[in-house]
Amino acid sequence: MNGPETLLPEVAGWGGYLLRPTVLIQVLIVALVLAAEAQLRRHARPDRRQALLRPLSLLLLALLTALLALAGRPWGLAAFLSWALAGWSALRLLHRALAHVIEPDSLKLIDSRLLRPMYLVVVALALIDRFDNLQDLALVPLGSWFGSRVNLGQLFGATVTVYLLAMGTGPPAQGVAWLAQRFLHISDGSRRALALMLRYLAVGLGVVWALDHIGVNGTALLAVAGGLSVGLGFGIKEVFSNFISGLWLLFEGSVRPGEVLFVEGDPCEVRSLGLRAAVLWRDRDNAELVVPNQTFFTAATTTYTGTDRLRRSQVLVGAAYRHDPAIVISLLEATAAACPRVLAAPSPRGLLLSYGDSAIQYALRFWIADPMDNVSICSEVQVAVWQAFRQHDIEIPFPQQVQYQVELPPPPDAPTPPL
Amino acid sequence: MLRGLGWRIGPLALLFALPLAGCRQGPAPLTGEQGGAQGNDVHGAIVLAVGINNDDTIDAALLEDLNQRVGDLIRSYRTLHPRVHVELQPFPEDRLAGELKRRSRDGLAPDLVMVNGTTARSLSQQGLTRPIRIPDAVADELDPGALARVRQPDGRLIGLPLLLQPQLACYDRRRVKEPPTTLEELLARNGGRMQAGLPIDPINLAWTLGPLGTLDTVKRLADGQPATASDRARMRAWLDWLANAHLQQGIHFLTDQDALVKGLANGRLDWISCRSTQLGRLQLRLGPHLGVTVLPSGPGGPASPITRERLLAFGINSTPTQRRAAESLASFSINPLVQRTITLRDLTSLPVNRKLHLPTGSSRTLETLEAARAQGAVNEAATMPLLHVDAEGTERFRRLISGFLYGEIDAETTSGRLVRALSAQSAP
Repeated sequence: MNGPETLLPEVAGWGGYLLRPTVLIQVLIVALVLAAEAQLRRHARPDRRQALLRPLSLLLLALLTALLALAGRPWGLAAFLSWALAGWSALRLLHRALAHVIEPDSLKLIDSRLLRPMYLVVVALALIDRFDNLQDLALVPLGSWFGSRVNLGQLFGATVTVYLLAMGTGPPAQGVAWLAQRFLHISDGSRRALALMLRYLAVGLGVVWALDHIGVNGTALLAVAGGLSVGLGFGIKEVFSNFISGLWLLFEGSVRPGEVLFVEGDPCEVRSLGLRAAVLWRDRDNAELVVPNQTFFTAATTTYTGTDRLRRSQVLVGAAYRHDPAIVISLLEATAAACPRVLAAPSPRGLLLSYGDSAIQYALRFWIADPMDNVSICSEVQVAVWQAFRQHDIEIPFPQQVQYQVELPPPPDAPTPPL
Repeated sequence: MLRGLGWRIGPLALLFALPLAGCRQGPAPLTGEQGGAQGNDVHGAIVLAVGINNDDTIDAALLEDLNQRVGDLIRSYRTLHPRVHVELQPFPEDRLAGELKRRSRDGLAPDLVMVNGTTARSLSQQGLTRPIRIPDAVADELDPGALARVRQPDGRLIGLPLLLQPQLACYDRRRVKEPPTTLEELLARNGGRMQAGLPIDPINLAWTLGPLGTLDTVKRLADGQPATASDRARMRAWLDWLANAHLQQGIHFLTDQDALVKGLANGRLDWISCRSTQLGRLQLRLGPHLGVTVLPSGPGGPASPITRERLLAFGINSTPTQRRAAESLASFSINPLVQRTITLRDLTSLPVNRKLHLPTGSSRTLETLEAARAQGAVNEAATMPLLHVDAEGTERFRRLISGFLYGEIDAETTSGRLVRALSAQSAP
């Protein structure tokens, strides 16, 4: 017998319970209180009074449940549903408590993808256990997969485990990576890469465990994988290529979260490296670029964070011919060194680049700590140069052009103008 | 072999039984407190909770087995009443009371509960099942001993008896060529190194009361009569035999019946007193080497085993429609032809319907089961009080007898406490 043939009659059998007035009353009590709360919430102003609606509902449910118990009527289901509702509300309190220790983005993910789904699953299982026997239900056969008989409990356990690993290993992996950074003094990028790799490792092991738990025959799985490889070659080559590229890049360390890469002439910071694509942040216009992993795998990449995060930056300036180049260069170097965000070592360096049409061209080269700050630091340095030149009466000449009309003698065959 | 044959002929026999069962409409409609089964208009979805032996693990194999045993009954019933949907829910028997308590509080208690007599009594005492009254016509068809065991003082039944589970002797044929037929032989076999096991619980050890002449004492005390010197002497004689048996190296007193079954299955024991429902488990381990016979007699008479029963108890949350459907299914299950099929398929129990005549000559096991049941029926009235010993009383009994066997409590004190306990048992 396979799954639907066994499972559907089992689930249909619960219908008998819902025909019992004693059960219906309990369900109705909870439904009516919730409906009333929803109605009040719709019309109430969003102030503190609205926040009291849920506690009031729970109190009312507790009273009604107590009345049922006093009347000698079954009340357990109403109490269970009330507790489930209270637990759901308590998740908000937990959210607030966790907000003190977890970043908002991470907390939002944990809340929406881990805590609330898991709570719903636990409540659903507890509810089903009231209607049926979970132990019995878990043994409902779903058929034969890859040579092994799979039942509902195995499939559920495997799915929940993999989901938990995929969604719940983030904070522990980040914790381990943080410890590694603390003791091994690895960079921020390496820390993030380590956290991601730990997650992939946990999920990978989880998938292997899940397949083993279900009892999937390894040989059959290999045969299927062989068949799939043909499909991969034709159909989902790009997806698979991106996935492998992502893993490779992580191990290689060239595109890790926190790295700064040059994309289309702009420095961009890698925000995340996903299974299919990397998300990069471009400071210039606050844009997020989603770049397929294989782009980095196959094309040349310019990075400022390969071995360190230092960037050598440069501004160009012209000075009039009358100024001594040695004085100008020394002034330029002193000016750059005075800028707070310019690194003292390596020290700024001024260079005479060329003798231009109207000015001598100088370059001022200096080092900065964060490549993403290049534009703003260059701006600061150029402003400082202008002010320094002004203080020292050094002229920044601009090209000057004098235009005049040339008066040529008349041609010999030209008619003599009349007197 | 016959068991295997039983499995093969089971569904076929049920199929033949159906038209007859349908014509007859069961023994007679059961009449509960709020209306009984009304023939063919029964409908609805009901839940049948089945108590599983505490030693058995609920796994795929057990569910498949359950689906065949009870599922066959349900499928046959549904050919007559297709509008009744029956959902099976297995629970370990020791967890059943807790489950029913919780589910009854929710209003989600099962409509029918298939359990052993002890569990049914416990459930009924806790108000977790609904007592029923059955018409005389139905009662006349059922085993009077079983009815007496499940009848409450107010005349209502804690459930409808379904199958009888006699107590008998199980042994390993490879090591016991000829099973002991008397208590003296049982002790004497110690020389031949036969390892025998006896349980220390009042119900399963009651079979030794008859051969040692203590049964009348138990009955007199349970009837509320004062203990005489003769009663005390007989009680001492029974205790002396237990002490003597305990001194033998080959006789082992174990705390419960399951430990005995495990011992025989694992080869640590060669001979035990067993319950018919345990034959299936032993058959699986010992195969054709499993031997069964009636329990040994003694100078005081034949063995006095207590036959237990599997019964169908009724839930307390059912709607009138569900009650009708549950009673209709219960009524169908005691139909002689259905009972015959169930009995012959498993050969681990006997039908509760006494109108049914089994072909005992066709199977040695069946013949032994019938003989064990008859053995139990002889002294039914005398052993009945022991059935009312609750779990707490059973534990007190175990502690007392264990203390006596290991010399911590002397025979006089033990005898006195047993007399007082039996007298107290009669108090209600």
